[in-house]
Amino acid sequence: MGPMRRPGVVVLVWAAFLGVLATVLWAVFGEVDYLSVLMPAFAVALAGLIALGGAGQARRAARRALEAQPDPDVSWPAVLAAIALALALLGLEVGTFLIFVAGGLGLLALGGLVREWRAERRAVAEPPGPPAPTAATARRAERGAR
Amino acid sequence: MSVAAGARPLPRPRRGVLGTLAATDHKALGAGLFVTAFAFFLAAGVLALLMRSELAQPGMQIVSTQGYDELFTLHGSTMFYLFATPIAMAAGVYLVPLQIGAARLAAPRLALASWWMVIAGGLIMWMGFLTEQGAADVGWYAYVPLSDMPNSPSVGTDYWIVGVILAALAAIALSACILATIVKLRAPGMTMLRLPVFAWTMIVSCLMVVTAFPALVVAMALLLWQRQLGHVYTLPSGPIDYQHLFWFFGHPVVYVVFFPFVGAVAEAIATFSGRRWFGYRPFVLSLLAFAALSMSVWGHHMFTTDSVENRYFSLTSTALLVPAGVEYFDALATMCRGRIRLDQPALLFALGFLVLFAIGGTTGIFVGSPPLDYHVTDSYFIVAHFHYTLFGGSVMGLFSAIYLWWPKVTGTLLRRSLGVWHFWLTVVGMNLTFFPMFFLGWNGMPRRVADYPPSSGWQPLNVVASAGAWLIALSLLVFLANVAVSLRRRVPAGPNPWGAQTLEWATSSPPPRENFPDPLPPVRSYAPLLDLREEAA
Repeated sequence: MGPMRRPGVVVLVWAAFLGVLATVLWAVFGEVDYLSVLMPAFAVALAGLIALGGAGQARRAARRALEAQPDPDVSWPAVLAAIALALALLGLEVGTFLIFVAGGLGLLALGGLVREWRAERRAVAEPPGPPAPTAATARRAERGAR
Repeated sequence: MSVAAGARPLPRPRRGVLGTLAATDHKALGAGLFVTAFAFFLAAGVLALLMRSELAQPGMQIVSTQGYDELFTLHGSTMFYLFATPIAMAAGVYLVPLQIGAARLAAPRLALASWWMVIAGGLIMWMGFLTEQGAADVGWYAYVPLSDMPNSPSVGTDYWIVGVILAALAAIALSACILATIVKLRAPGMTMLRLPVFAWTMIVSCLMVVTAFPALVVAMALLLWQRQLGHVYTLPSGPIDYQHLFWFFGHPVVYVVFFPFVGAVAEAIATFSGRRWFGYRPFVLSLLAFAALSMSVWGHHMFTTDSVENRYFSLTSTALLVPAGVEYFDALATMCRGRIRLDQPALLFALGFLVLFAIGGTTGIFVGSPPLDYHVTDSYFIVAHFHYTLFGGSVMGLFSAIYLWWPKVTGTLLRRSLGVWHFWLTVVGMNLTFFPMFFLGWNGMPRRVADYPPSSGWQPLNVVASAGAWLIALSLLVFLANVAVSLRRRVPAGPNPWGAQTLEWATSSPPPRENFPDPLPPVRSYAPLLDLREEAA
């Protein structure tokens, strides 16, 4: 159980269990069921992804970024994105006009999400302190100095 | 009014109702998702009451046959897609970051969007009742060809499919958020083998969701295509292909909505026995084995189709007993020589879970045997079996979780005496409702029928079952009264009113936005607060 400290190994253990079950189906019962075979393959791929995502320096950097990343307290664009998806699916039944409405809402949501991400990137990049001077405050400061 | 030891004044909520609807804080999100799912639980319960009232005597008294089909379709669908899965995910969204010492949930916007997808999916699904032809009438599994356009022309069925797709996508996204949180945001020292038991049960549930739920999305998308354009399930093997896709999701989902409450029950037993959870490592291995096995048993729903390898699926279904046995053994061994606080509703519900799920699990082994399954398939025996696993298991476990973590979430204590009343009414009502169904099914009463002949002799047991259903409704009213009283006359709970063992109890109740403003206690095992107490003693 020592190696089970890493999350990727946990999924590998699960994949091993699934692999044994698929092997029993094939070897003992002479059947190849595509779902049974796909499952361990998927699990191994997932374990690989987790292992890659958590490897070395990249993992530490990502972790630091995640820990420092300030989430907005509310995110209406995320809500809008969900509503857009629901309307798009409903539009398949109700009519094309609803898909167009959903498309518009989706674009609005995307714009909002991009704004939020950019604000977050700025907040992570800038050290905490007084806000950077805007053009107006800089002019005022210059006048004061004169 | 008593105040728990160490209680501090309750912090004021910082955002209004509107802000809560778009909050990215995992606690607000988890609570919102929980309330949504519980509301769907109550709505589906009303449908169940209508069905039980209809079945109390032969003949049609309350609804038409078509109406009855719509009722059982929306009852099952709402319970699985809109209540059980989302509420399990809600518990994970709220508790997992706290249990692993994280300040936040990974990808909170995705989780927020998922909550809204559950709301939208539910509304669209239920919107079918407003259409001229009524809601979906195809059962929660929507077997082809019964669900194709000629056999179910109602637009409500299309709405239902869209609702299911949205709810399934939401579950996948929420699982991804929880898994990413565990992989990326664990506190220093919180290795995988120091994760609390509940967090482990969420890991296996989420693994199953990300593996199994895509099959449901594919099955439903193809079904929508079939209904609109045709040419999908039209080959002779089409209905069986659909069943493979559906049950590849349909069996794991039972465990997805079960494992998190195994974790909650385990936490309740350890907390109210004053002991460390027994056999942690075998428990973790048994969970992974359990999850793997439960993804390999879907064919037992298809024994009677003669299209699956019955011996294999019978073997894997029966083998489920082994990991389940490990978990039962661990639970009993944890209580052994513990200081058991039987007056606590959380522990009562946990014990109720152990007893009632044992009945559901044992009858599951029974129907895992093809010859026996041939006799009872599509009968009330199956209805009894899965309600003992889902109500006796998941719902009892859910209430154990609610009584355990209510103080952490709200900062207040629920009334103990009302909780005990709630427990006993639930246990009696549940057994009155579902135990007679074993006999009804064994004697040949088919499921999904709105009526039965007076000469069948099934009425007395149906009356008992219907009375039990109303008793369950009464027990829920007692619970809601307890919630109302506790929120109106608040008894502050303090950070750790039960002397619990895991990290979420190391912060205030309810936790602040950043979860842990003070340094975390050292994490040396899966029960860090118990470690601290033992070191101090």
